[in-house]
Amino acid sequence: MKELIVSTCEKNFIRQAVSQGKRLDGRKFDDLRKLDIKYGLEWGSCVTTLGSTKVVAQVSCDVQVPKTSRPNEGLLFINVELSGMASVHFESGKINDAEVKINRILEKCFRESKCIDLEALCIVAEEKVWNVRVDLNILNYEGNVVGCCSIAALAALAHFRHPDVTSTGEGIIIHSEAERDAIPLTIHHYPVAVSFALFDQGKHIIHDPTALEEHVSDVQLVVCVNSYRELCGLYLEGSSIKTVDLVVRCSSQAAKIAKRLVDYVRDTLQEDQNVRNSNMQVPGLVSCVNEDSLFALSQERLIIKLTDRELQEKIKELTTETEEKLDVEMKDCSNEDMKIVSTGPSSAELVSNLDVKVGLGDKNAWMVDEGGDYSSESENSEVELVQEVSRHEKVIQLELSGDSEEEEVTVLKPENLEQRDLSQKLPKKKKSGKK
Amino acid sequence: MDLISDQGLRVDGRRAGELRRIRCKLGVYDQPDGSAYLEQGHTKVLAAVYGPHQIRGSRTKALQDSVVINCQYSMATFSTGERKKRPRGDRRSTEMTMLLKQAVSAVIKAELYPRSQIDVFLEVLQADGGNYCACVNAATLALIDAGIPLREYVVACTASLANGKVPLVDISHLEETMGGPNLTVAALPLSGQIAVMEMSQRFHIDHLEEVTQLALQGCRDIYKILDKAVKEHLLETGDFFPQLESN
Amino acid sequence: MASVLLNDAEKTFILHGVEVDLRCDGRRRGDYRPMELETDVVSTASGSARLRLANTDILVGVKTEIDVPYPENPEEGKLEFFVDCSANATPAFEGRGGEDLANEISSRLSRAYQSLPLAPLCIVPKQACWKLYVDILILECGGNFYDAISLAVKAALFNTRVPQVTGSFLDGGSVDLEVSDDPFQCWRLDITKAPVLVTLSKIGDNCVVDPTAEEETCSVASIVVAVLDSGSLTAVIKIGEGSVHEQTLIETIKTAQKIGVELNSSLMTALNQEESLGPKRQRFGFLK
Repeated sequence: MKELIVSTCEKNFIRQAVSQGKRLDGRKFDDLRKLDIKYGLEWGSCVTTLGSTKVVAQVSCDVQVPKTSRPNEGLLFINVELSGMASVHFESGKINDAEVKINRILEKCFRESKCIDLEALCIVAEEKVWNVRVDLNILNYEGNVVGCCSIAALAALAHFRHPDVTSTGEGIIIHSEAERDAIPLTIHHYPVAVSFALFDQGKHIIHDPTALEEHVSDVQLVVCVNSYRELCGLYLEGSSIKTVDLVVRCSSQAAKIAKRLVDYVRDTLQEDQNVRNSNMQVPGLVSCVNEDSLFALSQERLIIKLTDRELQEKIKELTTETEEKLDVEMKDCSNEDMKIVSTGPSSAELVSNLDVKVGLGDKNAWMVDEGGDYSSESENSEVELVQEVSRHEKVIQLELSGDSEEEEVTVLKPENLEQRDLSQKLPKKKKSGKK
Repeated sequence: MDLISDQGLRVDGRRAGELRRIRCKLGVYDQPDGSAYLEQGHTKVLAAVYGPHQIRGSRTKALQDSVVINCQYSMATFSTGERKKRPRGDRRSTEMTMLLKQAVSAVIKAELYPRSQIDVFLEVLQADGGNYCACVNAATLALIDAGIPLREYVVACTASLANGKVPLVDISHLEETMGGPNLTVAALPLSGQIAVMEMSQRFHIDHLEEVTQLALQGCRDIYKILDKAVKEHLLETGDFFPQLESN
Repeated sequence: MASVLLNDAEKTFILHGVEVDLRCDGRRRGDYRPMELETDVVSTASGSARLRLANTDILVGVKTEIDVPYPENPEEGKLEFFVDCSANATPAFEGRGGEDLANEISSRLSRAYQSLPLAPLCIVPKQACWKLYVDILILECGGNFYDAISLAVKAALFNTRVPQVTGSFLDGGSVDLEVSDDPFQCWRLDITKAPVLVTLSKIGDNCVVDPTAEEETCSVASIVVAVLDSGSLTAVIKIGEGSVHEQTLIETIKTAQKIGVELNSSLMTALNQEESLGPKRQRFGFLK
């Protein structure tokens, strides 16, 4: 498995931010990312999204011979697959440590805590029992995968129904959905896994860490709790921690979070049930695919907190000019080392006021092109007077204003092509958009 | 079957806070750089340490500023009640290997041996509960036998909750499977730091504190036993520690 | 085999020594190293034994299970060998590194143990029989695996207590067996027909018995002979890349036969001695 390589400055940045109480995506320490569960058409399939982490869960069952030590109980098998699809750092085929860790935590959380009534899955004692299998595929690995997987598995198990079975003398008859309704699993309690990242010997505890935060943290703690405040599993990884009450504190916080999550899962299940009962078209997993953003994994833009009054005013000016919404929050502070310089429409730059400019970079020397509009230049003339094009002075302006997402395209009309004479100097056409 | 009777005795006759009998021996073999054998009740474990030596296999694994620690946990096929088909390679063994590596990494002074590798191999000969703990304890002894500088001993202990109210320490296989929760803690006894903490089955959060404290106390008790064994071993094998005789 | 690195001078030294009947540790060509044997070390197994042959340490555990006999041998039990090379022996055995060696040893052992009668292991012909899993754990490599393993296996089988079947019911075509839980209600196997393997390594022109790891590196070929206590042979295996002259082969086998008979009798003496100490004897295991 290739290691996730994090640069030292990223590490330091995150650590510093955490020690100041800030996170990269602007959440508070105990905020969870947006959780979304969508159920498929089949019983027991769902897609769970926690921020950017995406997990697909599918529950299936078949009939098997029970274990000799427990002849009256059904079997539950949980399998997590972490392939190259989840992240560049995983190689499919070889078992890597992260996969084993997630598998074991989920096994502890669901199987060893006996959250499902296995005895109800027995068909014929010592011969035939239901073997329930939960397959989880991690589609995107972006932190707190264990939590997302546990919610997905829980939702899938709660959603799942196995076919009804009657036993005749010699064999068993498995009824299809049309003959008899499928039977849901009996779930005693609903456990979820909550993960924490601890920094600085436990001074800062972060809930639902992203992949980067997890990697940079000192200690990663996973607590599996159910809604009755019972601990189902605990897993501590990383460097050693000083005191036990850190774990106790995290567990109590985890219990609160677990309650919320379990309530959410129950609500979504209820909704899905209502949809099915009312015979409406079950949306299935199609709704996962039609997302309005162009890229399925697009991140929300970073919320930058600027703290200079001058900057704020400059920004206000710029904002009114271009009518564009910048994700900038204003706060009061005084920092007179920086000032904003406008370098053109909808672009600005932070410039240092200090005399010492070593390491801070000089003012941007790229000049903005005065002629911003390129659409109709090809119709103007054959030969254009080319401006002095040096690297520093040429700025290609990307106008992404308004709704139009189409790039401005230069259309070469046939008349222009014929007029061009090879003896003449080839005009330098300014290409728009793509560069 | 009750895990703890009315008189406060457990299935094997111990009290709630009593550890099983621990017997150990350092330097069992000559070929590994360090080896140790540890018995905790009926659980028997052999540990072997090779190193520090050059990185085996791909040189790219070498770390520039610290040692690479390689662990392997393996159970003999005849060690459990029901025969185990494969000694290692299944999920449980891989998880144990990872946890072992975590525990051992917490105490080895990794910065002393850059670009080198230390191998720690564990073989469980008889499993009767507390396999991981016996392995961690044996690994500590083997590391000491190999002469690798450690910050402290790393000692592990299990604890559980009987009948929902009485905490038990150092649980056997029977008590593990009877349905009580098991909490495994690997700690550094002198500084009180916790290197590994792992729990399965379920119990209420309110009990977490007392069960953990009991496990930590168990760790401290085991540490005393191990330390005594190490000093005795030194007395036997080396005669240049005259001051130990007065202890 | 986990080979030891030797330079030419060391190899020559060993070679010359063997020629004059003087080995590096002072033994003669036909001498064995001191052995320590203890049975009943692992209580989770039905039978177990631990053998230390100087630096070679082998632990064998035997487990019993009820199984269906093979259709071609409906009145016989089953015997299966499994060898596990522990990483404790050498880091090269980590993960699946020792699998080749393990498979080699287990297949040769099964061949040699064809002489052991499996009929006593049958319970109900065609339907139920005992299956013995002999699990061998190599803990330290000091050369001469085959001898040590075969001695340990024989001792473990001697120590094995197979539970008594107290009742059997025919239940609609299949058999339901009642096995006794009483640890004293069991029977012991008859191991008089279990062979002992003797390894003779050809170093130069002579053969040595019980080679150490260094001597194994010097030898080009070894002959392993499985000998019963009556002197009959059950298997002859040649290992190594070198070739052996026909005459040498015949002489080696004759030597091995003699040694094998002696080895068998000393093993039985030791086992009976241990047995005579009674069930309350002090068990040392690895602590000594």
